[in-house]
This record gives sequence, C-alpha cells and structure tokens, in this order.
Amino acid sequence: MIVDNRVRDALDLHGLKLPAHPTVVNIEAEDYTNWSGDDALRVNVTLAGDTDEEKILGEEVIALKSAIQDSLRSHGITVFPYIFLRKAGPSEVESDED
Amino acid sequence: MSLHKDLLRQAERLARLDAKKPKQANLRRAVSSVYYALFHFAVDEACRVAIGSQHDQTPFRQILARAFVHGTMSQACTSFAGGTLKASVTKGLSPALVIPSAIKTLATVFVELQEKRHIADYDLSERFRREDVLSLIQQAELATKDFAGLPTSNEKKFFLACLWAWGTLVKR
Repeated sequence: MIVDNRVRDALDLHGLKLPAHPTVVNIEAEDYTNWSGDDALRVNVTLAGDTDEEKILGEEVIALKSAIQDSLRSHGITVFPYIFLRKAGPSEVESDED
Repeated sequence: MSLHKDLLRQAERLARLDAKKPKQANLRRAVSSVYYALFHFAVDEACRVAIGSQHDQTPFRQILARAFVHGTMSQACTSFAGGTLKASVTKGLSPALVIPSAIKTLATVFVELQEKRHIADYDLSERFRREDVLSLIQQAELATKDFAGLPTSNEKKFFLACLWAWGTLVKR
C-alpha cells in the first residue's frame, strides 16, 4: 500500500488520543513489508528528547499503540501497523564488537 | 512456574546482561525468548479451552499444542488486533460483536513480537536497543496478565480456537 492522505490524517498528532506520557513530538509512516511478505505500515513515533525511556510504562506503550491503531482503523486503514518508538535527537550507536 | 513465565524471566535476564554495552547476541536471544513466551502462553490457553485444564489431560494438551502454526496464529492475530473480523469469518454472529481489549492487546503484541523475532534471528542489518527489548518484555507480561484475567466468554474461546483454525476458516 502507499502511504496516503488517509494515513497522514490518521496519524495527525492533533487528532490522536495519545496518553499523557510519554510526550510524542512527531509520527511518520512508511510502507513496510513484513517478514511473511504482507503489506504493512511502519509507524515511526518520535518522543520528546528529554524522555527517560526507562520510565515509560508498558501500559503507556500499549495505550499509545492502541490509539494509533484505532485511528488508522477509523480512517479505513486495515494493514497492520508496526510501531517503533525513538527519542528525538541523534541516535545512539552501540557497538558490542570491542 | 509455567514455561511462558520462565521464558519471560529468561528474556529479562538476557536483556539486562552486560551493564554498559549490551551484546546484540543477548538482546536478539531475549527477543526470541519473549516471542516464544507469548507463543507458548497462547497455545496453552487454547489447549486448555479445547481439552481441559485437569492434570490428567496434560498429555492431550501437549499433543494438540504441536498442531499450532506460527504463520496461522499471526494471521488470526492480525485480524483480531484490528478489532474487526472479515465478514466471511463472522457470518452468523451478531453485528454488535466487540473484541475485548485484552484480546486485541494480546493479538497486537503477538504480531509485533513475531516480526521482531524474525528480525532478531535473521536480519543482521537491524540493531536492537536494551530499552526496546525491555519494553517488549513489559508489553508481553501485561498482555498475558490481562488476557489471563479476562473472564471466559464466547469471544475469548472463539479467539483461541481461531489460533489453530484460522487458515481453514478464512477460506470458507
């Protein structure tokens, strides 16, 4: 599927009923094909740069994903959204090869 | 302790190894363990509904458990996660059928974890972060706890049956 205006409307931060924590600053989607070869969406959620990721509760992540999933459904998007959370700012690169 | 709880604890131990720099090998095995925790939880729940929960029924449950197929379970969960099922599947059921949130959550986490398990085992271009793996473990714990606490209902039994019957059901 092609990410279209319906997807962008569904993921508009102003319309989503997101939990109060963690603070989401941006959401973007891109086409994704899962390991089984099915069309899907990859939804990249950017959290505020000062978020302490160790303090995000499982309940909050589930509520956040559920809100995104419900909004996509209500906009007629039926493919599965794989949702990835990242903090704003440069990504940390960890190496275990030293 | 049950197998799925042992696998969750194993996943957490692996994810917390190497305090400063987590090794990808440990994080990848942690992802795999948490997926299998959810897989065995769902299979066990389905077998208990189909066979029964008595001790003397264990061998029958163990045989039935061998019939579950990862791909079929994922397809069923993808549909249940969305909260609406294909009309051909729900033909004859009330249009007001509502999938309880505990089922939707378990189904969602299952689909996500199966994908992550594939990536963890086969896609070396993807790197895992400890925070993400610990979050997956938390989500799996919550999903199994909420589902186990969901009172038995037709919707719950139907979902569990769909985990093994889905492949045939969607073709009818």
